Amino acid sequence: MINICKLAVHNDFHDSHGIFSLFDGLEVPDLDETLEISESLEEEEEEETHAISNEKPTTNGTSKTNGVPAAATPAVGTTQPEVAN
Amino acid sequence: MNLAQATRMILEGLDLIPSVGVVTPSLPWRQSLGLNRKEENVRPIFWKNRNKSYVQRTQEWDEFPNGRWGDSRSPAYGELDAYGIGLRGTNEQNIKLWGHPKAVRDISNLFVRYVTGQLNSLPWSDQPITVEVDSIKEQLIELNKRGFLTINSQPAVNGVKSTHKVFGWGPKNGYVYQKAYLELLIHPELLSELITRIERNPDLTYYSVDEKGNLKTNSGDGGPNAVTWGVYPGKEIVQPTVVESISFLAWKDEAYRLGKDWASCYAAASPSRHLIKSVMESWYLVNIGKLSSLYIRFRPLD
Repeated sequence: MINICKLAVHNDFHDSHGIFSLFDGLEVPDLDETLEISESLEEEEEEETHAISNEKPTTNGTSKTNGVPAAATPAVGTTQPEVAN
Repeated sequence: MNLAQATRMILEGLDLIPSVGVVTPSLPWRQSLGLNRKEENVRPIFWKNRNKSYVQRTQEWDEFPNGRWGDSRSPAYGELDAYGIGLRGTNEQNIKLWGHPKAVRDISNLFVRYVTGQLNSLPWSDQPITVEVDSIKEQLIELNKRGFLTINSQPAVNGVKSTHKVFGWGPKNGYVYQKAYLELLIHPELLSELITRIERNPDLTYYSVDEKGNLKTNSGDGGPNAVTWGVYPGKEIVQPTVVESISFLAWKDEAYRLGKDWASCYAAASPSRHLIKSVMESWYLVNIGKLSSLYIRFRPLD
């Protein structure tokens, strides 16, 4: 058998770097680019993070809260009078 | 003669005491001491650097893969909310460890520091890098410098002795093998080019997934594929580490969750939080295995 055949041994186990050549010439774009956070997003997140705000809600120049005149809104701790039908 | 010392002296004199040599582990991964896991001898490679998490997420299993990985539809991994699976440490500790990344370069520098041993952990690796990757360390550093964030890897090993001090495991007089394996986070713009290159080489298999679970693979049915195996006298071939699709999807949930946990360490409006979150939401988790082969071809003489 040895006289009539030639042995060819294939062994690529030694090629432990075969995967790395896949990345030749590739690089993640904008590696050094810092993320700009828009002010609106920042403000929005501020509100999300800090639920308690000292600012009064916008009332479009009126003194109404949810459509009810300010005078009609009962003060905290008072009882709302019953409305007669 | 009842004393141990006398018996020992006789055995030593007869050269019957085994020499204290390199003690290799019985498997390539650290076995759990749980009584119900005594027979366990196959695990997916994905949790190689998060051993405890794997044990935690599989603790409800009635039986563990033994001999070979069974039906891939059967494993049901535990929830990510269980204790011990999320990111370790307090926000302050993690920020101190990993700083305030503001660009992808800052994140890739953390990976480079991890691979070079200057950093002991990353969100995806509980323990320092091992000497096992020494032979591919330069390539890993180079990849990370270019923004490919390497999470897990192993070099190819061609039949080293089972007593080898780095790669050895199992009984003595055996030989162990490994496929080259690489797992990394890939920028979305580079994914299609990478997959095109992989598919040109029939020896390469890959799995790619995004945070939402969109999976791509060239591995047919995604069944188990051994990446580590050992050959021992009088035993069947042992295949203790596999790559397999269902487990990869379970690992994917954990990997993206760990990244998001890291992002949450930073203030809501901070650049670091937004950067890490955007990486987690848009980058792909990809693993690549290289099927090495050894065969002898007979050719008639000319």
